[in-house]
Amino acid sequence: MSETSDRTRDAAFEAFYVRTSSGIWAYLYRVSGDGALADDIVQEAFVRYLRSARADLPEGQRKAFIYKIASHLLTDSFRKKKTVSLEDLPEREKAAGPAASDALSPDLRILFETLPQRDRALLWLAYAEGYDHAEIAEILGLKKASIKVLLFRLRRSFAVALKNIGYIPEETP
Amino acid sequence: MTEKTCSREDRIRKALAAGESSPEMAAHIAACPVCREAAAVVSALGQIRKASLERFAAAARIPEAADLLGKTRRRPVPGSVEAGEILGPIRFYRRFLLPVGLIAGVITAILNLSSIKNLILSMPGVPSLVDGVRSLSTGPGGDAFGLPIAFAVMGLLTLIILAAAMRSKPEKP
Repeated sequence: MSETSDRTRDAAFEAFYVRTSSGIWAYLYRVSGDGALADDIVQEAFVRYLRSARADLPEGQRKAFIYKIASHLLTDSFRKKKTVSLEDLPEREKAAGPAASDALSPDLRILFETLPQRDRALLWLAYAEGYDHAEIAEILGLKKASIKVLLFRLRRSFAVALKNIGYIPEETP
Repeated sequence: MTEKTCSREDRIRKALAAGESSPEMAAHIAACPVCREAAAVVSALGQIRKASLERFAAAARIPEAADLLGKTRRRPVPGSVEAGEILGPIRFYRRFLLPVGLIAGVITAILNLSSIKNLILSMPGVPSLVDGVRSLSTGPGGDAFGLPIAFAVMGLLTLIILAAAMRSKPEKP
């Protein structure tokens, strides 16, 4: 491969990285509650993306592919976390601490944090990133048919919870 | 349209997540309780995303794109032409040079057995070690197998020490 095409490819990757890394970090940070873990997974996800040689795909598909890698890495890390020794736990809890000090209103933060990890990921991908059911199924490794049902229930329960904390005003008859 | 589902919900959810809006969409959201709920969830997730992006700007520690590109180039894709070229000499060594070297070593050892024996016995401390092992290995049958048993024991000890050293090798970061 020529040096010029290498440079063009590198420049395209740098632009793509700048556009997408913050959003993927935000997703990982909010779903895991751990900024250090989000740092690590973003780095590993982009390295795997680069090694997969998928640079020719449209940007939307490349972004979804990164989300897929990141989601798998996050699930793996949660599985490993379950086997972490008791001595390691305080350090992991310290790493998860910064979520409590961000600019989000406490009610909304607690409401989101109390959801199971899978539900947080589903809500984020559907309502923050705007992915359709097929894309979410591909990213999270779930069946497309189940995404519709899961999102319907989640939208209902999350909206009720938002009403309970006063985020959505009660409807007047 | 029913109270629980709306055929336009997915389109409206995706449009709102992408930051799109129109008077027609706003009118539908005002009239449809399902899409109103979806819009509220998009709005809540938008706040969570915004706070997470602020956190990203303040606290995230992810590498520059150039660092990732450099890291990837140091790790060639398994099975690629590049990896094949890099690993070629190692594969050649494993397949041909290592067996040939081992066979040549064994033949050389057999041809020079007495010289090797004298060389080993000339090392400081070895004669006393051999005598000690020989005295332990001398049984009712006499002294005939004493020296081979002594060498076998020393060889076994060497293998155990090598195996222990290989097991205690630190993992790659």
